[in-house]
Amino acid sequence: MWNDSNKYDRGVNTFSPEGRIFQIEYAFEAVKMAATAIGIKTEEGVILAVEKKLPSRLMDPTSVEKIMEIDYHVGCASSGIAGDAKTLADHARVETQQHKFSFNEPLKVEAVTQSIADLATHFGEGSEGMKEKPMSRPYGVSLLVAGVDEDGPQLYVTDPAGTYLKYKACAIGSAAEGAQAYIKESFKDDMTLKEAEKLSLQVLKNVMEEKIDQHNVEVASVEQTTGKFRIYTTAEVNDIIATLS
Amino acid sequence: MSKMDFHAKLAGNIFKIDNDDTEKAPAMERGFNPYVTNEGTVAAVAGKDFCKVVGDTRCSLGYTILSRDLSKITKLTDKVVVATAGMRADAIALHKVLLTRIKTYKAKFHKYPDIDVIARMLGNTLYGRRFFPYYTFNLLCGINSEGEGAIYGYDAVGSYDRVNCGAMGSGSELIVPILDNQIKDHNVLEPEAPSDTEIVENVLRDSMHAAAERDIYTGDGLEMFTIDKDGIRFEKEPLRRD
Amino acid sequence: MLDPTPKTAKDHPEISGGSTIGIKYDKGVLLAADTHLMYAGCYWYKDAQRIHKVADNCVIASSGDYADLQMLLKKLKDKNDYDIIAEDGHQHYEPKDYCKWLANVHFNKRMRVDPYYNSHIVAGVDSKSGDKFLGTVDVHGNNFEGNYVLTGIANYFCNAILDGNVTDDLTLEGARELMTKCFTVLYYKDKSQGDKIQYVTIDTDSNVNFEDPVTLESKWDYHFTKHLTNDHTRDVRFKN
Repeated sequence: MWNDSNKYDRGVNTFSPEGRIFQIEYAFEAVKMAATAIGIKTEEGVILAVEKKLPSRLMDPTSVEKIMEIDYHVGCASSGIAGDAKTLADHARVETQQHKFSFNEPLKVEAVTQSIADLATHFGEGSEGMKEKPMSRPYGVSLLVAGVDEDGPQLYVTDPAGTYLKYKACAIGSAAEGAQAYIKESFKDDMTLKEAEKLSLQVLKNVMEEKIDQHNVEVASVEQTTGKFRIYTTAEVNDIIATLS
Repeated sequence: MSKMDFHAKLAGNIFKIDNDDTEKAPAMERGFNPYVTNEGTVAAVAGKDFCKVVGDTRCSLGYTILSRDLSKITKLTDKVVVATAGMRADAIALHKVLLTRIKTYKAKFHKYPDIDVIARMLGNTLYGRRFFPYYTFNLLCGINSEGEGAIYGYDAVGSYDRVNCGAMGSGSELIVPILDNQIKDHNVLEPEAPSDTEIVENVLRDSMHAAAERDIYTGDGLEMFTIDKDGIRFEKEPLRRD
Repeated sequence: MLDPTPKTAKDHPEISGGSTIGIKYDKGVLLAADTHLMYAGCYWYKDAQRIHKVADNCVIASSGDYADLQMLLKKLKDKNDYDIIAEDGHQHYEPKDYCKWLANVHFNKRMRVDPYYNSHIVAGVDSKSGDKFLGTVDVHGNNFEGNYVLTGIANYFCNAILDGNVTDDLTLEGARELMTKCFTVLYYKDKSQGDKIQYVTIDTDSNVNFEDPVTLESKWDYHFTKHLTNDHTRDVRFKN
């Protein structure tokens, strides 16, 4: 009944003899099952695009919030447990505001990502009765963090292990592999933001099971010129979809 | 209220709670007053692409001179210095806190903070001691990310403002009117920053010599810091010692 | 539960020592202090040592509350002991470090509004560079270095004697002469100054020499000390 793997898979503080922490790996599985999210960085800015899985046509698609603003200059797209994504985004929001208060400047995109990764690695710590006890399990979510600061547009990806990496373009979620392959084919270093918008939705269209429309995808951008994060309206999304092949 | 009255109140309010409104003859000084003033004067002018800061090097206690050679100006980064008049022990502690916070910032964000960042940092550091203030009067001087000269002036509890010239300490009353008069367009909203370093240097030097003539807490030595795109330069010259 | 009694702190020194002076000379540092401790305006102890060795190359002279000084000396001894016990072939604390440390302790205590009522002179020789060190720390934690430093009322009387006369080529004899002059003036002018003075030298070879206290030569049979010089101005005269 007991095999090697599930002897070690209950405690979040215990390594298996092969050097794995199973609860973290299971958290990765939660991301692998979730709806796909794509981020593409260009010289003009960063595009985030996500697929929304709508279990019922009676559901209001606007209530599925997969892309969130963190500060004026940073936003994130999530793939995984939506509640966990909100917890991490909220944490990042507090960090950016605190930084603005302490130093009178926007927090750098890497530091935003770092603060998310910090919280992600703090699972399993603390004790009962603590004022704010950290999460007892790893966060089952990956985030694409897009933003603009003095170093230009940047795209970071965090995972449940608290690792964060910088990407030119990345896909996470159930169709990550397929989507990543599509992006790799079409991505160019000198892409315009318009081309990236189109590519992101083209990739989503190719990997989605449902037929793509303005309600089951969400798009956002952070532009270099304005330095601002912005979620696209359904009309804008519709316009992009109309150009897809 | 005179400045000295304000100082006395600042120090006194915190340690003497007196609910009696009627005027009483001041009681004999009893107990420990954690504040003393070592005063001295610092002044600065921000130019188009440079900033000049001067400070005297006298450290006094009452009518005695404790030291004739104690710097009031500390280099914080390659673009920013802080000049502090007031109580020396507090100033030393404050400068140490600032340097530590800047080091932490550098480690966290892989860059040195710009002057506007340090300005907020200093404001928060001072306000953090709102109810037991650092008895210091600061000028934060340097060049900002655009390369313009920038000065931030503070009160003891951290309220601050960007100015194009300023003076702090016991000789400030003597220097501020000179700067008002000599530094162009001081009283307009968008002043044109001076671009001639020599004029600025002479105004500051003469101001300090003027302060040393009349103010007993100012004298002995004059330090002049110049901050521009090439970094920070530093000169020292004598001031009257009486 | 809250302690109903308010926290109290000593608000003035009790048994305390007077001025101390430190002078740099060409090959070292000379420190001096009298051996008197006062309490309520009386000489309470007449043979107290107010200059202490805190490390092989560091000496401190202190004015102010003697109990606070003894506390600090205990802390300084601990600090030096740990330095030695480490047995790592290094002496980490130089006179400069002891001076800074003392300043931090004083600053910390003043922040709690329960200060150590002392001012110190820290003198010594850096064990690595061989540089002379002479610094001072006061009750608020202010500290600085100088060619000569003073504590206590000497600040009012001795600046005029020492300023300009403490040069880089001052000899030990010259320094001693200046020091004697300072303490003679203090003895004449400061009621709390004793006439038994202890000299301590620490030279660039790190030789620390505590000399036996000497008694100051003083002269009191001046005319004005024997005769009432302002007799004629007095309306009411008291005669035996």
